[in-house]
Amino acid sequence: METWRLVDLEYRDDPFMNMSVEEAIPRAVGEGKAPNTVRFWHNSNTIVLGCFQSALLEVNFDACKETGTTVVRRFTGGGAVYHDAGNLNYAISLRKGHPLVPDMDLQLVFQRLSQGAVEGLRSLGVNAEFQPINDIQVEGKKVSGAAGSIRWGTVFHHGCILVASDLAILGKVLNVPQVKLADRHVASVQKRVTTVRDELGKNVTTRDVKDGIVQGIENSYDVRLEKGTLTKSELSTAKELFDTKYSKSTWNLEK
Amino acid sequence: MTNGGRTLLSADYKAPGGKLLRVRLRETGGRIESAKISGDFFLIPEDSLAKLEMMLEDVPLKEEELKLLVDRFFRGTSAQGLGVTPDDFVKAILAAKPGESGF
Repeated sequence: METWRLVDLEYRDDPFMNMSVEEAIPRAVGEGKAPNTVRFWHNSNTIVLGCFQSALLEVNFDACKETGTTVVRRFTGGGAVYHDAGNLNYAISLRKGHPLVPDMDLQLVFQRLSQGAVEGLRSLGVNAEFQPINDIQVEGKKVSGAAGSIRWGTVFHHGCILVASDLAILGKVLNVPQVKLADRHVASVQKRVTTVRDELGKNVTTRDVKDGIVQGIENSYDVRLEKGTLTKSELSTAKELFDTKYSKSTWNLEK
Repeated sequence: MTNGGRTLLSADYKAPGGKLLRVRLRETGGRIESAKISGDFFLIPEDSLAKLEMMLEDVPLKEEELKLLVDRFFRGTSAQGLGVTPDDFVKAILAAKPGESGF
């Protein structure tokens, strides 16, 4: 049975460092300097923009100031998401050519690499299913969004799971364009997203969900996750990415 | 909006069953002076979008020319979109044209 590394490294109050680590891992995996890896982590109040999104168009900066929300851009495409302590992030980095995702097909990457999270949520009693292009939904409401890329010799997939997030803040800090809401025939962000807590009707921690997803990943892909840490080289790449990219407003805000 | 012979144009175009393309253009005399494309789509390699924006400079804001250029971009870069097709890029840019049914 294949073994993947399980990394829990996070900087809860430093979304810029969190994003630097997020990029350092797939770079190292692709170079053969680190094994296939699954990372779990949290951010405090943060908007994470897709790499093609305009901060000016997507972000309500007044609401961010009011709620103490930081804005950071990730290196993958897709839409803006809101992170807080009730949101669990996971990331999977597999060396390119891995039999699970052998092709240069991003849709297949999302479908296959969402499966572990889907299984994990189901094991907790949430009726989750993958919804193309990149969502996990429960009864038509989004509970998780994913993004990913195929670069640096790595197939990379990451997602965030709304476990017990504050949906009221989410609705305030993101400007959702009318054209998008109209297309989905729903009036607001809050009406088209849900949380694991709301679906289960009881308090659930991100730890519970993480444990479920670890199991879901192990069962779905027939792998064993073994707790590990970042290598010195990964940490130094992360520090460099922090200094040159993720701590800079030119990267985070100027698109 | 007009500014010294330039017109600033914009459109938000939702690809059917897919993602959102938000186009902001400067147009002079029927040609694109500069183009900014943003949105929640996927495109790999990611840095190819900047190339497309550059290729759009000085191109007439006309369907035929835009189609040829976008096709050349996708062939030349082997870029792969998800949630957007090459045709969606053309439609989104044209939607910014005055009188077109932009959203």
